[in-house]
Amino acid sequence: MAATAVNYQCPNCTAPLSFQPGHDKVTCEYCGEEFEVGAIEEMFRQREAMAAQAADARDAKWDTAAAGGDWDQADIDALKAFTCSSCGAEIVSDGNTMATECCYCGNPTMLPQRFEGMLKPDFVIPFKKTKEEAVAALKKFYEGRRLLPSAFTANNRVESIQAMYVPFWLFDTKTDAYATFRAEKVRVIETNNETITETKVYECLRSGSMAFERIPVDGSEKMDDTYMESIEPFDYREMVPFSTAYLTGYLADKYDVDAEQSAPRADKRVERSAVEVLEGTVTGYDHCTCKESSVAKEHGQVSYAMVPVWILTTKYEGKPYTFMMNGQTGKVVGSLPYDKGKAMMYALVTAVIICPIAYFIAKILLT
Amino acid sequence: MHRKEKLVALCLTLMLILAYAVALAAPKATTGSQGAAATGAPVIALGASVTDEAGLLSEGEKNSLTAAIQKVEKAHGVRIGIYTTKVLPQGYSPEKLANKLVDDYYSDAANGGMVLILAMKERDWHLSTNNPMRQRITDDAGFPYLRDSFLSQLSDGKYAGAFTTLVQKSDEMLTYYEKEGKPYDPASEFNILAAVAAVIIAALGGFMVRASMIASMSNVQAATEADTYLKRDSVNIKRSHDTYLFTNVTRTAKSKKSSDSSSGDGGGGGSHGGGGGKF
Repeated sequence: MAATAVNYQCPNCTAPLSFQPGHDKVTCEYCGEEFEVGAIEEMFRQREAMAAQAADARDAKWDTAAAGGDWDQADIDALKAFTCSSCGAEIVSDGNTMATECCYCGNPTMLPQRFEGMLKPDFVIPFKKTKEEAVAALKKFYEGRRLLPSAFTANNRVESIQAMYVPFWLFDTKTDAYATFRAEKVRVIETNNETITETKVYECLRSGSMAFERIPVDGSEKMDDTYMESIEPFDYREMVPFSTAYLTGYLADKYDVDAEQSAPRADKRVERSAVEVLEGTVTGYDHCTCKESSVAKEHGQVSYAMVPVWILTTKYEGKPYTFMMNGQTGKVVGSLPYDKGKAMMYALVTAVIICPIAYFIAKILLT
Repeated sequence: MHRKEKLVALCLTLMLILAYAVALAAPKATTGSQGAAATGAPVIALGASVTDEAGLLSEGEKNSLTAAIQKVEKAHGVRIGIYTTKVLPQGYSPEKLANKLVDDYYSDAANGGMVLILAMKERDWHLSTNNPMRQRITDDAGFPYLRDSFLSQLSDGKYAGAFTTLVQKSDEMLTYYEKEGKPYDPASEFNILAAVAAVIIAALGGFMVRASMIASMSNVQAATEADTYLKRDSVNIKRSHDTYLFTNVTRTAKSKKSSDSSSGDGGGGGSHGGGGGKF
């Protein structure tokens, strides 16, 4: 967050600065750097304006009440909920779809329960990728992985991959962002006797507004957020208003992390991108670093959507390994186990190849 | 005049001419380069092993160095000369002078000769080798090794030590040539420092390859930004202000390297090896 008060500090070393009456330059008592009085005044005038704006800015709350709707009785009658007796995950399907095993932990025992819906999703992105495509993509994902243990691929239950709709909160926001950057122009002059490096330092102030649309954050506690972020992005052009008809033949997860709890992940991403947008306008310099920034939401709206994911959890040496495929775009993500023996062998082979080459080069350099 | 008197007069005239000629020649032969410094190349009496006109060596050092050189010369059938002067003769570069000296006074041995000259006023040094010596101490590999062995001592003013090192290293390199049948090349020697560095680099390389291969087993990565969801047409930059603050200037001195010339056609017209520079 930006400071809401401004202290006069040396732009070079951040030590306190004080103006000496009757002088046209300010000299930092700590680092000895000299500054034009006009430049310092201008810099802090801009900072004061920014601090005042930051103090005035009110970070708007996400309008989470607008996300989701109420189920009607027909929907409730059509849906069935399953609870995993092992990990406690709750998944939902239409009455005709049976969950044979938990897609989070691989436990085969699923207990059917009466569906108790929470919010009804606003949107759904229908599945585009079939099971055959998912299996093929997963097999391709294994290819070329030299460290993959042979036993893992032999015992892998690729065919057990399951399709599931995962609950997502989609955040829309309009933001105001302010940032101060320290930029440098570097000039190197070569003379016969020395190399002179001249670095001109500037303070660049930027502010602006921008809007972000449908930043997805998954609403399932069981679903690893990192996995969910890894299968992004989704093509929202194919997103349609929710209907239980889309759940036919598929499992669905009920959200257990509400929009309020999910919002900080979206906020963090917005803040970073907003500052990057401002940084992109600092041009004509060799280096640029952000000194301070402030991002405030003007307006934030949330909607609730179900997104399609193919998911497989398999165990190897007692440890679960999860693979997911974006059911719309086909992007596959996952973590594979590695064979420690193979990893060591490749390290040794590399070292044996590098050693004589490195010796030859080192000898030339040291002789 | 009688015939006898004419003969005596002729003899006297011849003796006078002879005496004059001897008088002219004598200073050149005995005072060496002092007289020649201003007019031409020095004359080193009979190709002495050490000619210290700059007065850098004590008598004991000079004798010890001479003995060492003669021992090497005898063992390998070569000639080695060390010549120091306060100032270079007019019209002579260090290279030209060294080449001339090696051609004129140190080329009478079967296996070659070399001369090291030092000009104290100019702080120049040059080591010239003739062709047979270049076969034993090559310009590309042997000379840089020989140079590096004594140059730092020369720069430190340890002249006797530098000359002794030169003679010792020359002895080693000539012995190597006679034993192995090829000139000494330091690149062919086992270098323990390079070996340690190579093992460390290889271990790091192996570790990096292993880490990279393990990292490739997962493509799960958290998203830290929301660029994909930015509405590009919504970006409105309201304020853009750049303020110049100050200028930092850093100066880095360039290292001065001594210039080497490892080959070339010397002043004497022959082909020479070696090289030189400032010390």
